[in-house]
Amino acid sequence: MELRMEGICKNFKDKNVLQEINIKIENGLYGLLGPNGAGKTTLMRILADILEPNKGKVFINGKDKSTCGDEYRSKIGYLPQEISYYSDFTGLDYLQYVSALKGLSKEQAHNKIDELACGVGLQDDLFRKVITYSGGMKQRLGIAQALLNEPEILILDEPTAGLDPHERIKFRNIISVFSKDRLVLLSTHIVSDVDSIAKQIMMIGNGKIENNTTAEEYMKSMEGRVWIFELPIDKLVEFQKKAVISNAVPRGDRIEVRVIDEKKPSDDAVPASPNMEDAYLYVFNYLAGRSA
Amino acid sequence: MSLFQFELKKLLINKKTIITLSALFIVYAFVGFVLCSLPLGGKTNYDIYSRQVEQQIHTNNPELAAVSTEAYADAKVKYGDDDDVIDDVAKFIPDLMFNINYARYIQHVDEYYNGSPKDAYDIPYGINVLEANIAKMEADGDTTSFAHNKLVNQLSIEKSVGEPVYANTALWEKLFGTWGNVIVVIMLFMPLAYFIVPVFSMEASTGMDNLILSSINGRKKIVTAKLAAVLVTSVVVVMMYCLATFLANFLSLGSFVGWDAALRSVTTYLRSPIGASIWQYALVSAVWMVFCGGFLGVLYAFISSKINNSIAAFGVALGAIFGSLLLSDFSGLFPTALHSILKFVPSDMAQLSKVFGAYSVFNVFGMVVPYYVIAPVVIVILTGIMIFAIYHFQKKRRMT
Repeated sequence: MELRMEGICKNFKDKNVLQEINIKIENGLYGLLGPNGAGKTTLMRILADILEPNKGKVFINGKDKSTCGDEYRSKIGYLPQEISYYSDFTGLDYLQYVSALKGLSKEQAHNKIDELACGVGLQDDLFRKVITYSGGMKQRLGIAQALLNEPEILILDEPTAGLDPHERIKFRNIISVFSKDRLVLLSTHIVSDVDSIAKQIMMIGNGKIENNTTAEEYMKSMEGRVWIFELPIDKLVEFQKKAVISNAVPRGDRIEVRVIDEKKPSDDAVPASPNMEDAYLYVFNYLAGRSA
Repeated sequence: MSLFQFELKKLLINKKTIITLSALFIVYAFVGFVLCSLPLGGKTNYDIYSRQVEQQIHTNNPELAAVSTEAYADAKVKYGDDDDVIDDVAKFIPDLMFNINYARYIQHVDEYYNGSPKDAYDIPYGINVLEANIAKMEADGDTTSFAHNKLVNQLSIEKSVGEPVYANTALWEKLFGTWGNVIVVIMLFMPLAYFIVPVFSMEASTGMDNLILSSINGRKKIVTAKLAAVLVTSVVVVMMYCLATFLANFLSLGSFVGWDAALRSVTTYLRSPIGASIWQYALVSAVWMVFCGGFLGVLYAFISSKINNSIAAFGVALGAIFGSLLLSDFSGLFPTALHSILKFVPSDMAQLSKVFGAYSVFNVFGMVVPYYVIAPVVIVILTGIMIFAIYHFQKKRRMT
C-alpha cells in the first residue's frame, strides 16, 4: 500500500490551512505531530475523503483517489477527532451500524465486533447505551469502529484523547501490531503516542510539513541542542521568556532546567540525551520563535 | 440490522419519538373530539337530529322543504346571516338543526340546476347554466376551444355524478374537515417536519458525518436507507393522525351513520367531481394523505440534506409550508398567469378539499385534465427531483 500526496493545498476563506503538502508513505505507522491548529485534522479529513483539497492530489498505489470513489473508501478506517453518539444506541448498535455503513455482512460484523470489543475491553459494556460510557470508553468504541473493516489505511485523528495511561498503552500496542502490514496515520500532539512505535514522524506546523523522518533521526539531529543546568528559582520566570524549557525540576532552593538551544545557554550547562519531546519543542518553539 | 433499520431507529423507533408520538396521538384525538362532537351539541342532541333525518333520508319533500326554508329564514332574522352563528345555536336545538340542514339541501339542489348568484362569472355552475353557456358558445361557432370543451366536460361530470342527496353525514362532514382543510397542514404536516428534519442534519451536528461520508455505503445506500425511513415515518405519523381523529370523531358520538351515502351529501363536496360514496372517498382521502405525507417527508429530507443544524432545518421547513399557505391565500395579489402554478404549492395539494372539493381543470396541450389528476403527477415529479438532488448532495457532500 502506497499513499502519495502531491501539492495538497487547502484554504478556508482567506486562511491557508495546508500549503503544498508532499508526502509519500507506505505500510507502517506514521505519526503526524503538530500543535493545535497546525492543519493535522484538515489533512486527515482529506485522506478520509470527507474534504476536498483546493489544489493537489492524493494517489493510492499510483491511482488518483478522486477516481476511486467507493473502492478507496472500502480500504480506509477513520477515527475522527470528535464524534457524538446517538442517544438511543448501545455500544453494540453503534458497532453494528458502522459495520452496515462499511458494507460488512451480518456474520462478518458479528465476528469482528466480538473480536474488537475484547480487543478494546468493551465486551461487557456492549449492551449499555453509549451515552452512559465514560470518555475513555467512547474513545475505545471509536477505535473499534475504525478497525471493523480491517482497513488497509487507518486514519486516526487524536485517538488517545480521553484515555488514561493504561488505556493509552493498550491502544498503542493494538495499533502497533495492526500497522505491521497496513498503513496507519496517527495525528496527535502528544509525543509519547508515537515516538516509540512510529516508522516515521511528520511534524506539521502552519499547514506545512516541517520535518519528516524517524524518531532516531530526530534525536540524532538534536544532539548538542539539549542542555541541563540549575537556576535560582526566582530567575525561572524571566529565563523562560527567552528560552525554550522542556522540563523544570526543583532541587532545594534552585531549579534544574532542561533547555533546548543550539548554543550552550549557561557556563554550567551540560549536554543531555535528547528525546522526541525535545525535537518537537525544537521545531515548533525554538525554530518558530527564532523565525518570528 | 440493516442500514434501513438503524435509520428507522434513529428517526422513529426510539424512546423520545415514541413519547412524542403518543402525546401527539392524544392531541389529535382531542382535536378530533373538539372539532366533531362539540359542534354537534353532544350525543343527546345529535341522536334526536339523527332520528329526524332518518325519516326523510334521500327524499325531496316539498312540504318539508317549505317548512324548513321558513325555519331557516326565521333563524336568519333572529341570529343574523352568519351560518356559523346559526349552526352554533342550532346544535342544541335538534329540530332547528334538522330544518336548517334540510333547507340548505333544498338550496343545494336548486344550485345544482340553476347555479348560485355567488358563482364567479368565469366559473359557472349548474346544469341549466352550463347548458345555456355551451349553447351560446356553439351558436357563436365555438365548438372546439378549450373553454367550450371544459364546459362540456363539466356538464358531463355534473350529470353523471348527479344532484346532491339528503343524508345524515354530519359526522363525516366534520371528519373530512379535519382531514381535508387547512387544519391538516397545521396539525399534521407541520409537526411531521419535527420528526423528519433531523434525518440528515443530525449527522452533521453530531459529527457522525465524519464516519458516514468516509464509509463505502455512506454516499448512496445511506440515502436509500434514510429515504425509506423517512417514508415509513411519514406514513406512520399520517396514519396516526387519521386513526386518532377518526376514533375521536366517531367514538365520541358512537355512530358511523352516513358511511354509505353519496359524497355529494357532504356540504364541502357538493360540487366535487368525484362520484363516490363516503366510505370510498374516506379511503381515497387516507391514501391521499399518506401520499402527501410521503411527498412532504421527502421535502423535509431535502431541506435537511442542505442544512447542517436540525433546529434551523425545522425552521426552514415550517417556513416553506407557512409560505406556501400564504402564497395560496394571497394568490390574488399575483398576476393571473401565476394562479395555476400557485395551485401546486405543497400546502394546497395537501388539502383534500382543494384537490377533490370542486371542479377544477387545466389545459394540457388543449386537453381538459382535472386538478386531481395533475396534482399527483406534479407530486411524483417534484418528489423524484428532490430524491435525485438528495443523492447528488450526499455524493458531493464534504465536511466544512
